[in-house]
Amino acid sequence: MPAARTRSWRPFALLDVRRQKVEHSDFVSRFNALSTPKEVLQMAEPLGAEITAQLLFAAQPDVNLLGSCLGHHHAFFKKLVQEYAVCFDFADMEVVTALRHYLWRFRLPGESAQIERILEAFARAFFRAKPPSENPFCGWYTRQPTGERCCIQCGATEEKARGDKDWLKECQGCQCVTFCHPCRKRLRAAHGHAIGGTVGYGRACVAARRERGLLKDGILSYAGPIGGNKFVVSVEEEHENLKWERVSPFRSEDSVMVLCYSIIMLTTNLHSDKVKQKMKKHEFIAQNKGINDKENFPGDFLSDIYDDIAARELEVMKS
Amino acid sequence: MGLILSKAWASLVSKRDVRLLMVGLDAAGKTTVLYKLKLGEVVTTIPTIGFNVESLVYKNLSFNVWDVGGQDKIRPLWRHYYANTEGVIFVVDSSDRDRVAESRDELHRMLSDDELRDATLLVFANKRDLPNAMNAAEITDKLGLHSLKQRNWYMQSTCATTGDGLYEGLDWMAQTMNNRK
Repeated sequence: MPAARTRSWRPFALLDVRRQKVEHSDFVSRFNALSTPKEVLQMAEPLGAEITAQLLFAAQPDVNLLGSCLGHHHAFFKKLVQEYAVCFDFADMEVVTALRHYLWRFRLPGESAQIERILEAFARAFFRAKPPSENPFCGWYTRQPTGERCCIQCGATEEKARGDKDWLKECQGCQCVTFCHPCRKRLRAAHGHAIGGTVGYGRACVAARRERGLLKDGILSYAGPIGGNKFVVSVEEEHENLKWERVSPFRSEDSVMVLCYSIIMLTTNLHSDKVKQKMKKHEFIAQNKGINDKENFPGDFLSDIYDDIAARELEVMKS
Repeated sequence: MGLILSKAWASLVSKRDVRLLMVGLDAAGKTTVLYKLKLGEVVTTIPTIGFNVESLVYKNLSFNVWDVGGQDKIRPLWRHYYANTEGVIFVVDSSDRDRVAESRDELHRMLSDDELRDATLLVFANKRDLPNAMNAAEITDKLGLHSLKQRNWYMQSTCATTGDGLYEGLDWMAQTMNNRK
């Protein structure tokens, strides 16, 4: 008989398991009877953060108390919120959907330090479920953000042009998405676009034209900028180049966290009646400049997030 | 004459919107300050999920106060809000000697932002009732407020839990905003 088994053999072990099950089954109702995180700490600390998180995930406790526990600055709760976040399965979710799932189960406290801790845990779990891809911008930059005309890369509008008519200009390749002068100059060709180039098109150009219905069956007809030259290329020929499937654009855990923080700011701005000046879409894009590990997020990615939040605020279940 | 009268009337009746940011380390007492100032007003709806934001009407000013967080990585996000901010309320815990240097760095880093160059600064030296609280002169010194040459600033010691000092500070802010107009 293996030694390990002998050691673990205790005649009343089954009874122990049973008692533990009973204890665990009423954990949430005992939790709900408490009123402060300090009381919860006394009850939950002996169980450890991992077990507590699983119990709190398995049955739905009071959303208000759970929220103030998860945001609390005590070391145990800091561990608890990390363990709680990994209970979710975010693998098939977009970031806003995942955030809605997460925040549906407890009331997010309004203090910035608490929000930071709760979002850091979310970011870690989300990023673990969705590791970064080689080209984080693959699949994006295909739709011009709706609303005021702005740069798809940095959100700058005509306002900054100071009378320069060509300051905001469509990508030279696809003529579908707009870049501002500084971004054109800095990038020249990037994110699958020809941008300021004089010849050719990028994969994003093709995808953008296809979305707009500008690609004819099997044939990509492309009007070059020089003297209106026409290039006609068969799509089959370029098949390998045409793959432009959407991936998760996040480059790091921090970039998830900062964008989520920005989303919480946006929902406060758009839905709180205390805020008079509502943020516009291009302002949201501009606000998020440089937060994806010093890079920007694709404008169409941010545009989708804006529309999603504008259509429906973040909600918590009614307990 | 009519114009002057109508202007005078407008200044009495109209409310001017002022955006204030409230900054400070966690546990300095920002939330308590925010909600103490709101006391006496009816809270009607369940608050929106998100940051604590309050609008206060005081004298002829309508303040819009945001509780702003501090980590470096989220600082870029406040750019948009800095741009229209006329005043900053900085809350510091007078009894927290260990973190006063951290507070000072936070304050100066924020004020160095170009968008905030014209913003007025009101410092609430909070928790003045605690036994080992630093006095106003000591905090002024430790926060390096004397080095703020161009800045219009004011320091008020407060006890947010009882509300002592909060309105004196707000009075100063309101007066400054009105002078500016």
